[in-house]
Amino acid sequence: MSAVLERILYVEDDDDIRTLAGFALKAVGGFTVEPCASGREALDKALGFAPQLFLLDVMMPGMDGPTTLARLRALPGLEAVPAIFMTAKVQPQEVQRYKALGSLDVISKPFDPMTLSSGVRAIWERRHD
Amino acid sequence: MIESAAMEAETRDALRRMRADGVRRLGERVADLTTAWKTLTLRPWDAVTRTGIGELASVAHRLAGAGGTFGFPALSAAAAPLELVLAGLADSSAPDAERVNQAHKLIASLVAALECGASVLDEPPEPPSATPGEAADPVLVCTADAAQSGLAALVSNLGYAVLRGAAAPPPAQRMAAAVVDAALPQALDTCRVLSARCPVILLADDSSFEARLAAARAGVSAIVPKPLETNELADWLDQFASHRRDATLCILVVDDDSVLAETYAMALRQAGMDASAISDPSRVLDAIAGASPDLVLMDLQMPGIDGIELARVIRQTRRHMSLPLLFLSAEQDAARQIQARRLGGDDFIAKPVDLGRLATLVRLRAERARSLRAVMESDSLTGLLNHGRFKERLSLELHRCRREGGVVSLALLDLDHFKQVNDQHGHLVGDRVIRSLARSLQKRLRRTDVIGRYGGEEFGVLLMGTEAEAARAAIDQVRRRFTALPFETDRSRFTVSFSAGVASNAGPDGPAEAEALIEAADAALYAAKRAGRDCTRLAGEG
Repeated sequence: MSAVLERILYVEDDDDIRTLAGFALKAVGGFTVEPCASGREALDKALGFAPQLFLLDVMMPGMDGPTTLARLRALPGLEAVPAIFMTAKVQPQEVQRYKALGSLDVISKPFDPMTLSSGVRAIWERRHD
Repeated sequence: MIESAAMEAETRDALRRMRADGVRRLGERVADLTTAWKTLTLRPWDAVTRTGIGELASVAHRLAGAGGTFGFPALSAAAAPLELVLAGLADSSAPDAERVNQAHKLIASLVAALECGASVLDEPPEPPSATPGEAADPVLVCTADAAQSGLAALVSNLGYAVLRGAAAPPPAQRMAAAVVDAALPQALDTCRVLSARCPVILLADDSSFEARLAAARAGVSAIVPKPLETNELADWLDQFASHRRDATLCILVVDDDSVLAETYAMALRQAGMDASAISDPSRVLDAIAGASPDLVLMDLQMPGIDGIELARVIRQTRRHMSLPLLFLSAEQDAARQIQARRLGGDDFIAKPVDLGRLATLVRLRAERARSLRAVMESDSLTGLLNHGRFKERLSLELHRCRREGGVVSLALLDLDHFKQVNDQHGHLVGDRVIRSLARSLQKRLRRTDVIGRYGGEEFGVLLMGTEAEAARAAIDQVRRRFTALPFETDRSRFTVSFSAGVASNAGPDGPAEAEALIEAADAALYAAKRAGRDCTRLAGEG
């Protein structure tokens, strides 16, 4: 019996990818999405947005995904917000590494915009398994 | 959520427009990067130039991310190592000619990737499912009618999950292989569609050259003539399925330039290999001992120790005689290439390196070396460990158990009345039976279990961390499936059973030495034969 996922804080440094994925999450998945172009922007917006889930690109200039996640989780009230990383195709052992860093799972890039939302939702619903 | 078909169409349109925008911007970004790079290479090497190159490294990083998203995976594959090389250059106090050349080459690859056009975007290359599936992918069976449904049962009997259908399953469905009956209407069209997703095996009535050519043009990887020879189909399925399941190839890269070493390693990783890079040649023996690579890729010209000397050092160890060595070399030194070949250099790759070609060549060499090694250590009929190697492993594992504690069970299996099979059906059919049992054991046991062909019709299985009772259950499961598996010849249809004896090293009195354990398992096997065959007995059981 998990809460329905609605609010996603999405961090991706590439403008075109952010536009595409952000739109797909809104239009196909019906989510409320707060898109952020950097870890810094995410930290600024997170408290006001009250996200249920962080969706983070791994490799970003400046602050990378794992660092951003650690700092987001240091904010009051966001300690237990689940996260999903997005990154280029990875080996199973790397997925394990990202999970150890506090991510529920990893969504590999390139992603299919039509099924991105159902992928996110499936991971969200599995999170207590 | 999308509530109606109209809305879905609208969403798809919007996405399509966004992708088109993304693709157009990709082109602009590549053009900007190319121009900026040209300008920078004409400038003196100063702080401004280096900062500019550092900025291009960030551009390359974004291109690596965006390329795949907008349907240009080849662009990503060139942009990711380009980022490394550019970042390395930005950090150097002088422009290293080799790195500059490599950057030129990679930028040319970006442009080429863009010109090749986008891959089809409505069928994304990767399913969006998050974690790569570790379970074996199913085999798709496409047959014309219900009479052929035996084929699905047969494939399932060989240990594969089966998907049935006359058409292509949804794009997210992964498949190890597809088996298509040529009797299906538009069979070759089906093959053409499926061949983009997995290897296709065609069951053909007509195996003439013309038919084979038509099949090849439809992307068919293997043809199995009808009437169906089960083992031939099984061999192909094993090959295709294991191709995906095989452990990742492990490659060691040695180049004194750490940036280039890491660049090559990254290209190999992107091609699905497990690559590590070292820039200190004197560490090569440690690195080989640590990683047991399938292949070593090294620079021929390195200051201090050069590649030829390094090859000589590697070959001084007997175990490394067959380790493939691939050299990276500038084209002008033909004489040294001959010298390097004399020392067992297997091939040369010209610098600046074409990373796509590098990955292909490395994979081919490493796979070939792997399969040769497997042939040397295995029984030629079954591909299992041969008698000598099996006993070696048994001693090794028992030794480990004595040292670290732990339990293993040894099962010895012997086909029942095998001589009659040979007498009635001939040795070729007998060989088929032996291979089938080998395959059943491989399919149904865990990958950590060690399987050997112990003698003519006798097999040995070493089940790690398994008590005797559990080992019996595992062997019995194989036995029941195998006994039910029918063999067909032109004239008849028959089944074969086997008997098995199991012994483990568990308990204070458990046999700790290989000979004693073999003796105990052999006695149990004899008891199983005496009890009427087609059963499994434990050592010490009445």
